Amino acid sequence: MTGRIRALAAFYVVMMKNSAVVCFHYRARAIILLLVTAMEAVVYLALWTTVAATSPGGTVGTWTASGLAAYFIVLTLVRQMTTTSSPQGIEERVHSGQFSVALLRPMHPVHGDIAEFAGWKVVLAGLWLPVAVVLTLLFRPTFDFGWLEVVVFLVAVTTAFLIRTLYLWLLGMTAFWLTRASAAFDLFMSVELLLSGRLMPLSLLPDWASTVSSALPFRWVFGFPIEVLVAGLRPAELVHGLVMQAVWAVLCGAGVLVLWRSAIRRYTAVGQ
Amino acid sequence: MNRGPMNDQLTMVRRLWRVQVMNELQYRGNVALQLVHSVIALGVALAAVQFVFARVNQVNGWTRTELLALVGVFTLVGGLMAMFIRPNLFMLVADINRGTLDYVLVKPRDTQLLISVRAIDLWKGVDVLLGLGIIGWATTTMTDGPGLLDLLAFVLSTALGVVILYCCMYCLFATAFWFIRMDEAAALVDAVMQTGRWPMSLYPGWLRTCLTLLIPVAPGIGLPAEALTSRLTPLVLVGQFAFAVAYFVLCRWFLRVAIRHYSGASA
Repeated sequence: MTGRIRALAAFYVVMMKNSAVVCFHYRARAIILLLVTAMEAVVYLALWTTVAATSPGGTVGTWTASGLAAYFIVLTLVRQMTTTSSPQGIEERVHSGQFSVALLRPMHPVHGDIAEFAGWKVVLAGLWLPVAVVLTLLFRPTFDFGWLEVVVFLVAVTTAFLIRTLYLWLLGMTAFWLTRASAAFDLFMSVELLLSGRLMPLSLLPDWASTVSSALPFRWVFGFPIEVLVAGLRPAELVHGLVMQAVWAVLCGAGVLVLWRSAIRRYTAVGQ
Repeated sequence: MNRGPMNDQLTMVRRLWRVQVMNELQYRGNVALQLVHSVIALGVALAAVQFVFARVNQVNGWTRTELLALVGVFTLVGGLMAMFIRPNLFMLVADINRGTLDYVLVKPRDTQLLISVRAIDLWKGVDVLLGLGIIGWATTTMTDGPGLLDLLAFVLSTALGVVILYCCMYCLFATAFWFIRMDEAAALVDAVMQTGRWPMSLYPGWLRTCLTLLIPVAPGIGLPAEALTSRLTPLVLVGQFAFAVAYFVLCRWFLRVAIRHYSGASA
């Protein structure tokens, strides 16, 4: 058992190093991908800071314009850190038979994806810094964090990446049963976009949407890590958020393991 | 009978589109799939507007119905681009990469016209219809809806907007003659286009400048929406016309320069 864990750890180290080197080598591509994901946050940053600035009292709900600016600037980082295998990518691997190679490895293929994308994060975090500086100069955010929040944020954003990878894997694995699942992917990603805190802080959602979002994992992937740095959460709220993340990580992980066993029995590839 | 070069070009466009439409009609099932995708995308856009208006009564002077009209314009223009422009752009990049652009260049017809009308994604017409539906619904529920002149300005502004976006996209994708890979650039343009979902007046000046000159979302989507909500002045419409003409001239020149860098299949 210890040997297996050691081998897995060695695999992660090598894969992450390799992936970081590849990301750095193709840095122009990485910068464009960074800008693509940052654009979404910039749109809603502009929207909500204007709404707050023009509202009576200069606030929307409990959020000031500078608080909202901080929220969406941190979102640009969280978006980078939670970018992972898309369900469409997994579907493509199923349909093209590329999983055959992954099956030869003595480990679950999800490890390869986690390690590969984790390696990218190191480079992306570095590339994100200039974007954050520019946005900070333009929108004058107010942050509210100390060392405790920084540590909790690092744990939260790492767990968020893990949860998102696992639930997108669960979604992508439907390709073992369905020939065309793109509509289901679209619907899922749309619900994620609406109820995760990417369009607005979760406290600004209408009550019914907030109730629905509390039953889904999305708020623990986006909303919670961001609020750790900008919303001045109490220690009890930080602990609650981390526990909820752990619960969703375990649930999604178990889901991937169980579904994979059935999925792999349906997998056929010819000539790969 | 000599029908003239213009008639010849129109006949060619009509025949190419007819073939494309017949080809697309073989896959009628795709309309259902496209409908699902389009309804989901529209649902997200409408839900976002609803969520915002759960907290405020207006966004920088735009009411809920005016923003719904903007969503309609965004869906309509996006649909027109996806239907007529994008399939041709991806075909152009594929031809450059494979060297099969030779087959276009040897034809005795205007190259720019040929590479602009070879493909149609017919089922993206669902977005066009949905966009028109939302526009119709929003304008009829507006307390102070658009008059006849506003509607005429909207039609003209939309046509000019599509021309401007066409020129921008062709200038961008023509860089494939040098850079080959355009996937990331296309993704970036798609991301920037999302700014068109909201009024341009929300964005800071530097971003508005970029959205006018660099990737013209403002003249492409913002101005038609302003026409529909009676915000567009005649002077701005004239400016949009001049911008479209200038961009078209630039686009034709740039495409000629770019094609000179094409090395062909046998190079």
